[in-house]
Amino acid sequence: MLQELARSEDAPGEQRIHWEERRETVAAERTEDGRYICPSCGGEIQADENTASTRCPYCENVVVIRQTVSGRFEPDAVIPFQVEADRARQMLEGFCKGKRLLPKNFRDRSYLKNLKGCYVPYWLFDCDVHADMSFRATRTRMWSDSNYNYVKTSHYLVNRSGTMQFDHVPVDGSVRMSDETTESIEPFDYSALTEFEPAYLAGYETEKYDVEAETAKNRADERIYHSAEQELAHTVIGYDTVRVSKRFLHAGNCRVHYVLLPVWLFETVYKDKTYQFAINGQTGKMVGELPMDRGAFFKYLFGFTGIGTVVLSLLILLIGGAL
Amino acid sequence: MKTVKKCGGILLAAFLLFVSFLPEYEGTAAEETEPVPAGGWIQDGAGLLTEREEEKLEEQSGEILSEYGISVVIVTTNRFEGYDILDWERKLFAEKEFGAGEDNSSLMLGISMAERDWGITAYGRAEQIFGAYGRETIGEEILDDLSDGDYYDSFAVFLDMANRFLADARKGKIYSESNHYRKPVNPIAAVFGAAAVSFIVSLAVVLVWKRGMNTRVLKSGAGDYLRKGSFHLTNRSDLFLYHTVNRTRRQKNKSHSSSGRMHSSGNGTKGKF
Repeated sequence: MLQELARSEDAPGEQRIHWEERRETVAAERTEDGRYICPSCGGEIQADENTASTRCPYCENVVVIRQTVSGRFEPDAVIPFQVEADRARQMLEGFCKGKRLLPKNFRDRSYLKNLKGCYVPYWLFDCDVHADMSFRATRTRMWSDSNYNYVKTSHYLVNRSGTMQFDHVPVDGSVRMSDETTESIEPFDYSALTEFEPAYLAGYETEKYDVEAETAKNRADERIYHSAEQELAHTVIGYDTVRVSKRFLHAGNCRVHYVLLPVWLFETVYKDKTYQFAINGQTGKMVGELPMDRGAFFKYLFGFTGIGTVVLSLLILLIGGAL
Repeated sequence: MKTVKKCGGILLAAFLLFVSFLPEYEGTAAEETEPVPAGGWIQDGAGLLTEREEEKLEEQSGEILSEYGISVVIVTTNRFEGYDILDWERKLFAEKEFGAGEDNSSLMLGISMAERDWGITAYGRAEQIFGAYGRETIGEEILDDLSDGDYYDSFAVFLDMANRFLADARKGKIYSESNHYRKPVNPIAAVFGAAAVSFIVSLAVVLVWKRGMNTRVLKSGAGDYLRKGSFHLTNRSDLFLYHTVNRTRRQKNKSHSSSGRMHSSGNGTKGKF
């Protein structure tokens, strides 16, 4: 333990969580024929290796590709959609309404057809954390006499250790989804997690994970690390300044779960940039980024400036008596 | 880009139209009718002004006299003769016959360099226009330049303010404790100030709109997933290490000599600079 503390003093910002347990993965075979046939109409389905469920372009039936939701790609659990498509469209429309900087081609509501329900692959991380931290803290007292001002600064070494448990810290397992989007629609109500059945995928698009748990845990590390530090820092009270001098974080009894979580997703490309808009398919929490019309931005900026200049000038001159 | 150019054109046109309606800012000169006393209206006995500066002030004073029939006099001296500055001005006013018109109207600024005294006295019709409030207001305006040794600037401000008080008095507005004087607004400065404020406010508005286009935020922590009641503090120690004491000398309040104080009595107001 002492060695670990000494190491952490050298580079307090570099400490990583040591994951003791990893999820047991099962190897699964995947057919490499590259073609998927709709079982309903026999038509060829456009799908890639990450597609778990999609809609047949001929008969519009939703097809679940079992290979991508079986074996190591079979989710531990799923939260079924609770927000209906109509409500999701209304929410997106409501969000776009009144946005003066939205490009003109967004005003015909045709963008609504791009909204689709997706089951997004997530990794959920559980762990017990033990944290040791040292802080340098100061208290300051000031007084004066007739000739001088005095500042007395008392310096302290503050040590705190603690344990805590984190449950189901989510990190998306999809390259396509940005962390900003998936983290912004949190939290999900995990009490609704239910055992995975392919039937849940009917009517929604699904992708299997293409970010491994090992990669995703780096993001979980960051978030857990930050929260553990905050929890200990909140116990350091009564000081004027507090600075972290040493920290050590150890995570044990770690578990990883692979789940599919429901998200209404709207993606659009505007001037070579992809914009993502998402609604939590369970709670209805809505977040996203919409494209901005730069012309409209400057039109309003200079328009308001012009009107404001004339009105304010007249007011100043009238009040100042120059007119 | 077209929109930006179009907006720029509209703004420029609005600005030019607005400026074209602004009132003229200069007064008009008229012919002098009163006889100029020996030594003129600006008598710089202390030698604080250059010849050119004295000429310009003389001209300005003459314009006020011809416009309003009230003389505005500035007298400076190095050698004070033991008088109170206001009494000295009154004595000088009588001796030099500075008054204009039948009621001997005049506003006079006296400067004594030996005592660093200044005084403003008003006579005749000017006594009503330049009451105690008016004289003190003018005194406050000229005091900084006087203290800094910017005598020409100070005297020019004195004449400007006298001119403004007289112009407003002609419109029936005489400044007093119940009718305070407000500094005039420079129209060009007002337009640029309004443009700057408008731009900042407009920028804030459109940036708020822009921010509303993106509500995605990366979470910094995992506080939502900390199991309730799972946090236990296992070690807690606060060790005192050492203390330091810094001592800095207190700054004494700067005394502004006696220039900040002024006193009004009768038709005069005086102070130090």
